[in-house]
Amino acid sequence: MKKTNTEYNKFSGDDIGTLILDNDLKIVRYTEEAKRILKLKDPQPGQQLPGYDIIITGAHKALETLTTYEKRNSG
Amino acid sequence: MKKEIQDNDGNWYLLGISPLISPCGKTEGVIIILVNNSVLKNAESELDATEERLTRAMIAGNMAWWEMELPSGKITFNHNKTRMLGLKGEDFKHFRDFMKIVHPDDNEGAMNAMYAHLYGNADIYVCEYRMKNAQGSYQWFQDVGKIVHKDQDRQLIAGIVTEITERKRIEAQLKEAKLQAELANQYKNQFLANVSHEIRTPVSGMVGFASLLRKEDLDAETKKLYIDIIESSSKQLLNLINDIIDVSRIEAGELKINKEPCELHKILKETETMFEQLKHARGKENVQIRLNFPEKDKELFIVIDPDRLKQILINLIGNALKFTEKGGVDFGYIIENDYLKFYVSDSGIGMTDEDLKVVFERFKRSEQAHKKYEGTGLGLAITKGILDLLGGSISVESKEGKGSRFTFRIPYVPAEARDLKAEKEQASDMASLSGKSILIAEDEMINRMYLEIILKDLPVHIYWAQNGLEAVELFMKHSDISLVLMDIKMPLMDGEEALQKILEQKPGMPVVAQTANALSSDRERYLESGFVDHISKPIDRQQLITVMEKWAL
Repeated sequence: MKKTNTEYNKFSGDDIGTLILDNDLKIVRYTEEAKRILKLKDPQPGQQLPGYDIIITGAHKALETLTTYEKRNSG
Repeated sequence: MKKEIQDNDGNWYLLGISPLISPCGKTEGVIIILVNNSVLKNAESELDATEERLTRAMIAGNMAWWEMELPSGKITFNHNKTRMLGLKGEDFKHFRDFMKIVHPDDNEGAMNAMYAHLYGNADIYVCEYRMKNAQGSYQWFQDVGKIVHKDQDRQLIAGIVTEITERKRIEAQLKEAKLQAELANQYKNQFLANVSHEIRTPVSGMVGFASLLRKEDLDAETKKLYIDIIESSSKQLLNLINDIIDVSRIEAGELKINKEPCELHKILKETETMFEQLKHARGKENVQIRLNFPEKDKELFIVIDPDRLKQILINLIGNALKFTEKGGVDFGYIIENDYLKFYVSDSGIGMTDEDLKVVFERFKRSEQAHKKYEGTGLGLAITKGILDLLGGSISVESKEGKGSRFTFRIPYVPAEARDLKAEKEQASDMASLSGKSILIAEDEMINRMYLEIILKDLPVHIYWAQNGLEAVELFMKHSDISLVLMDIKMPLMDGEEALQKILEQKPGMPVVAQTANALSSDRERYLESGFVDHISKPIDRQQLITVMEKWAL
């Protein structure tokens, strides 16, 4: 898992965080940057993603419609 | 639950969530991408700034970029394109939307230029066309473009359109000016050829008969005949020169029209009297000269240039009398709408249809006139030129052997009796000239006498100088001189040199040039060399007074 994370990190660059969830919206993979941005405390694969309504809603929409969901923050 | 994503450093993130689909088509979950918004924001604001700079430059240059996709025909363009026309960008999505406002005459040219490029016949697409703006009038544009992308399915053409209405206007002016210059040159050559011919005839008469006069065995009667011929040839030459001056002034736009209130019936009656006398001198006692106009006992005050009106009447009546042996010459006028419609008709030799076509052209004379009658062939050209300047027109009807009828119209501008010039002159009290001293340099005795007569009643003191040198000497001697009137061509020192000497003594001294050269190019030259004003001879009293009042210190 760790190795894979490193690969993601290499790939993703400084300001891009990547996170993969399964159909039940449980964590599959993530990059360090995603962990940092989402303030995840040592998340484990299979664990539910805590605390982000906007991600959960978006993920549901993406799964329902099979299209990309985008949300731009006000900041 | 947090609805927005912000890290501990306060950065905001753009969220992108896509379904994760395996190669076999099974949905396996979602992939979530988080992108730092500030990076995007910076990139965007840089883009915005670039776009803003580009747009500003486009607006400054009256330009706009555009792109067209083919075969769809969809267009994207910088909003300045529609802004320049005062139109809304949203209304233009397809190239046909623009073709609708392209001037019908330019449509084909624009399409051809585009096809020539698309089919590889032209390296670039370039053309000029007009488009209709929001106000409904047309503006000129230059359009340049090139294929920037091409594959099997689509082509992309990009280009720049530039507003060139002003350039087009200047181009048209230049073209017109060039045409005018060519015409003027052509005219000048023709004019010179004609003039030389017209001058040669009387001059050869003068030279020939002058040498005949040298013979010692001539009797008194033959001598008189020869002198008569020389005299009439001289007069013919003088008339020709006067006519040439008039024609060239008309052509050069130099002929001045001085409209003023005057009484029409007086002008007509004076003309009638003049011709009554003239017909006897010309041995035309059999020709009746009849003047007809409505309400003969009344006066009619109008605004017109009386000298030019007289010149027209004298030309036409003079012609009528010349070509009429018996019967009569009738002239008069009626008021028709806003015009005074004058006519001069005669029962003379008349003109053929061929003659009628060229009657108002310079140096064209009818066949018959050419054989039997003297004249320069300029009279009617001058008449027409003057009428053009007066805002009028002239036409003629004629039958060979029956006579001719010339009709001309001049705008009717009524005047009040009290506007007459005589009263106006009285109104000017010349008080501002009182006690002033004026230095006049004039070498010709006759001109000096003339000036003495017209300045007799003025409350001014005049110093007379016979040449430039004397003028400078008088100027140095008398410090009270408040204006100098300077002839140009004088012996010992000419007017321009005297002017420089006077200005050296007293910069700012008003010196007015008075010359017989009346063309405006001369006038400009005089003003450039330091004269404050210029009046041309023969000097008009009122004009001289006005100039003196204007400039005397």
